Amino acid sequence: MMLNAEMLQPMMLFPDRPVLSYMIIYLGVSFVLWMARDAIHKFMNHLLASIAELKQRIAEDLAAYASRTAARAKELATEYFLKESERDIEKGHDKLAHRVDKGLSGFPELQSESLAMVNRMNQAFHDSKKPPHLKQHPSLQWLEKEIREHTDKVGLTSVEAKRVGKALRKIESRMGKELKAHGKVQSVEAKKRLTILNKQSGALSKLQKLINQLVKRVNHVKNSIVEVDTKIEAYYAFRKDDDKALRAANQSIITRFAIAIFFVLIAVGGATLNFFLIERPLSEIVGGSGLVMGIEVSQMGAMMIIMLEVAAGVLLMEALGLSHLLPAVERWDPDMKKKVAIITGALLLAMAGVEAGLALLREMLVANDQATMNMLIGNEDNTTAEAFTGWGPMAVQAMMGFVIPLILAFVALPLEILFHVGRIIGQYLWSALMFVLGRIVLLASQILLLVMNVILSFYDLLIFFWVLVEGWVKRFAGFIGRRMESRA
Amino acid sequence: MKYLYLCLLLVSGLLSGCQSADEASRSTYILIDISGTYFKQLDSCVRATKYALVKLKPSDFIAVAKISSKSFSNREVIVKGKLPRQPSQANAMKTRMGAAIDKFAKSARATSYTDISGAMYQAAQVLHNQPSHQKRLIIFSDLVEDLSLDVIRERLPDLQGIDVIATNVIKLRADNRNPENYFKRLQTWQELILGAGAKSWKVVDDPMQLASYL
Repeated sequence: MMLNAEMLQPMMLFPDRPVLSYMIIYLGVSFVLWMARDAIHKFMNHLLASIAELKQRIAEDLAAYASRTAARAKELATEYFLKESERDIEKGHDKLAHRVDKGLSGFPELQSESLAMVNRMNQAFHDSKKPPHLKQHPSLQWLEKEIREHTDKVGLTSVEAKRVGKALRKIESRMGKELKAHGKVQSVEAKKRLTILNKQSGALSKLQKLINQLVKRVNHVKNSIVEVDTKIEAYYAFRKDDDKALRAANQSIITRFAIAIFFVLIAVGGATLNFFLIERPLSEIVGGSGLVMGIEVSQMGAMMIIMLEVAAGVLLMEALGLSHLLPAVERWDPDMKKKVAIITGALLLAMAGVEAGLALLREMLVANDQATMNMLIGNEDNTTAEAFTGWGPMAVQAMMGFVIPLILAFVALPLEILFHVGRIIGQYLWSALMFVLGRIVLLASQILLLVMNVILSFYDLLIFFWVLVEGWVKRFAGFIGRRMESRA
Repeated sequence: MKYLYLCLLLVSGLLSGCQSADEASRSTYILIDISGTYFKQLDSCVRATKYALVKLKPSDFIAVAKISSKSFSNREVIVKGKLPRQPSQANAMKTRMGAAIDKFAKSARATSYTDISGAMYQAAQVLHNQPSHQKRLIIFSDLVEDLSLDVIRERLPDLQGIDVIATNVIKLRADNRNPENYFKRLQTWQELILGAGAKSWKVVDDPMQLASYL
């Protein structure tokens, strides 16, 4: 309540002299306040000290809590990334093992093939080195020369010389024929060797190809080793509590979180669409509009179907090893996982079939509604209704009903990221909130202390007159005391 | 075991929140005035009634009755029934009801007197017997009550929990001469109906707008 002139009116000692009256009121009030000066100062000082202590404690507690939460968030992030790194390393090892298996499995085959090829080539070269099967034909030129020299020495007659010459020409002609035949045989043999060598050149390129393949496989294995090494390095960086690695990881956490939110929102949109597709036909099947917790039974049924689909999808993804939301599934043996994957996959397909059927039923109901409306309101123009309830839209509805549950199954993947990463981000946000709260408490208490100091100063200002009088009295009393002492 | 208890608790919680289909449904009672001053409006009333019929949902209750000289009688009810829960069957029933209303419109004759209160007694009795939470009474009339001498209507029936909607309330010649009469008539009915404990009172000019209230 504000103090105003009307309220002070009854206290006015001299109503015709308000200034004097106010002065007297002021002196009276300030006197009372001056009397309580020590007590008020004591109280205010205690209050200030308490607030300062409380402020300190709250700020310290909040800061400690914030740092504990941040440490917990860091722990969670490290744990998450360590687990992920372990999984990555495991996968990298599997990949490496697969590549090594694949590469080595080709090795014995390659070895035997190359050995066989080398043997074949050796044989071919050996064959090509064999002397050709040729008849030995001595050169007869020396014979002709010898005969000519001897005939010259002997001194044959012209007839004898003619005869000898004839015989020699005969021999020459026969020798020419023999040599021609010999050249032919030689060329056939040379061709044979050439063919053998040609064949070996194809084998050489095949061998080259095999070696290239081997090199490629070895390179793949080398790449896998490098990948695994990088992952192991990252893993050890986390293990060593390396801040740089953690900072990089935290950045990737935010990106992952945003992507997961985006995909989950898409999934929610899909689920909503699915809900509207199956809710009405379900009401035809369950037949009724009873409420469960304020929701119609058919709507509840539609929601339950969607939930079941999501649950089946999550289980399928878990069994396939694509997500890791349920730790219990991770402990199952591979055979069990395979069985569960088959069962949940079949269930999902069955549910997709059911939804496709419901979508068809929905279209029939729409057509039925339209017909009823036309009949009751007397809409003669039925062409539009028929156009919208033909086989085309029905097929689209059925297809949509079939596909959506299958797509919803993949929601497990972003959900996994959202659950794991959301927890870490939540911890970080909580820590930041506590930190900010601590700062706000500090600032607010500082302001409060300042205001209280101002109030105390104002109080001192209010009673300044009596403080002045007090000073005078004290000085006067001191003066009297000193006089008394000097007299004594 | 702990999870079993939790599941049981959840199921019992869900069941405790259940409401029967009857309670969830809505009940609508439509009164059509066939007295001499309003008889010309019969066609538009029938059209609006059938439009309202289209907007009803499965499990809803509907009754259509006429306001005649002595309206507190079961004979005045043209159609009455609860729509089946299956949408297709509900549509079939709507079609049958529409045919019955058409048949009534063809054979109806104008009456000399207008017993609105008697029709309201009949409607209130039927609506109070319905388990649904939402109950509506729709009146197609000029709201001029003209009782014959042998009919006694001292007050309106108990209309607690019922939303009353008057629609297509036409203006009479006297209203044209003095519009105050029209508004006074509406005011009087509002006071009477709310005095009888009705949940609400509304006047809807265009009967085709009824769908938005259903």
